[in-house]
Amino acid sequence: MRPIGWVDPDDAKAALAEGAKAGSLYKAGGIDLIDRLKEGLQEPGGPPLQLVNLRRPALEKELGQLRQEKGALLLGPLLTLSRLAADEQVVRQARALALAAGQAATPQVRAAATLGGNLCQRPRCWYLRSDLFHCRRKGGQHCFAIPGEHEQHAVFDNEVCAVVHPSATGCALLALGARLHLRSAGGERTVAIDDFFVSSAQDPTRENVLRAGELISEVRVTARAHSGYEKIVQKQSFDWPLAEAAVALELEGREVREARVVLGHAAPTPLRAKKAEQFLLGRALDSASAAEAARLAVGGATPLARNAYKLPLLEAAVKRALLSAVEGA
Amino acid sequence: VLRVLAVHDCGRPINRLTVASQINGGVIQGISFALHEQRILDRHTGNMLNADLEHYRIAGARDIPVIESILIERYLGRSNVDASGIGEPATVPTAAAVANAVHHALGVRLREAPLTPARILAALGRLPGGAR
Repeated sequence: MRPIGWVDPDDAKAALAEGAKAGSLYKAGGIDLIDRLKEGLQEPGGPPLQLVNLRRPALEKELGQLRQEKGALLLGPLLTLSRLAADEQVVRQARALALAAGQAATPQVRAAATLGGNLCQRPRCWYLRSDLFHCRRKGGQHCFAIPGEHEQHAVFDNEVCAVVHPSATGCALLALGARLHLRSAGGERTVAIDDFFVSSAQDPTRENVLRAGELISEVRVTARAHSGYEKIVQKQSFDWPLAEAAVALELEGREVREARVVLGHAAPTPLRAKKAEQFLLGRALDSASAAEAARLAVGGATPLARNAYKLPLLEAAVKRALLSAVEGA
Repeated sequence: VLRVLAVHDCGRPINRLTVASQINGGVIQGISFALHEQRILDRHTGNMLNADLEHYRIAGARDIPVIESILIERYLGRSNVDASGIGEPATVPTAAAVANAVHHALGVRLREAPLTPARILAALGRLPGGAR
């Protein structure tokens, strides 16, 4: 194994300066990063690697805070999943995010994993994660999953590469319409989460628009009274979902004024189900309309030979997420 | 799986606590075999794709039901202490018992372990058309 450098920056500016160097990788909770290093997924043959350790008390103030501002939650990328799951403000104003964070992985992982890391983790496709297969996501010529073992792979946007995006918080934040503030040594910008993830048709070698050295520095979530998240798993813990759904609704009584419905573990990105969203507008949300919206959400799917079973699971997840979002409304 | 009642004949139990513990372990592995464990090989190269605990599902703490065990104490004098083995025997019938419970609940037989959501939906005829 080749040596890996390590730096402990004292503030965000120093972290971004180190992050700008070739071969630098940001390390927060280190959950996915350590796996990637072990799996040899991190640019073998590239410049010497250096880990920029963000998990430091000195950076908490700039990158690890949870604040309120004019009806919005401002979330630092270093907030842990367990903190997001338990925080009363998140539970009240961004319930889908609290649920997504609180059901991911295991308590031990959630205590270390961060929001920024969860959004930026790489897919868990077994071909991508195996050094035996030089697949399209690694810059190769083939997707091995499409003709091979793809039971857990994408049912949308799967012509080029059939990974599924692993981030539960990404799914919830897309439903909640979050905005991400990105910083690098060269400047800063804000992107809507709808523009953050990159589909495999656009570019199968990346999952998001982050440039080298760029860091998610803040996540802004407008408070929503009604949101929900559901996942369907084979095991009760420490398992990747087979299907997940997150929804956020603006209601007047029980009538839907605005809806965002997102499918997770369905495509190489968290995926808006726009037909379902349009269907819900102006309708009272009840079991029948939720079921119809869920049916529309999986319409147009392009399942592979052995993963069509995911469609009824996604449908069930959407229906449950919608109904849970209006409980008590 | 919510509850398992395991009835076993291991002759004379020499230490009841360790016998119960052996049965618990066997039942847990049986449930894991029934519901989760599956080695996935790439059909073109034969490489194992899930040779890690991230992708190879194995029953974890939250997948374990209430397990009760009853010992049939039949003493036949087949050995000097009249005890026979327990451990693997607790694994053997468990997966079949889970499959029987699924049959009882759904009315359809599944003949292949693990009993995954995909196989259950297929057995119920709930798969969207076209795919097997």
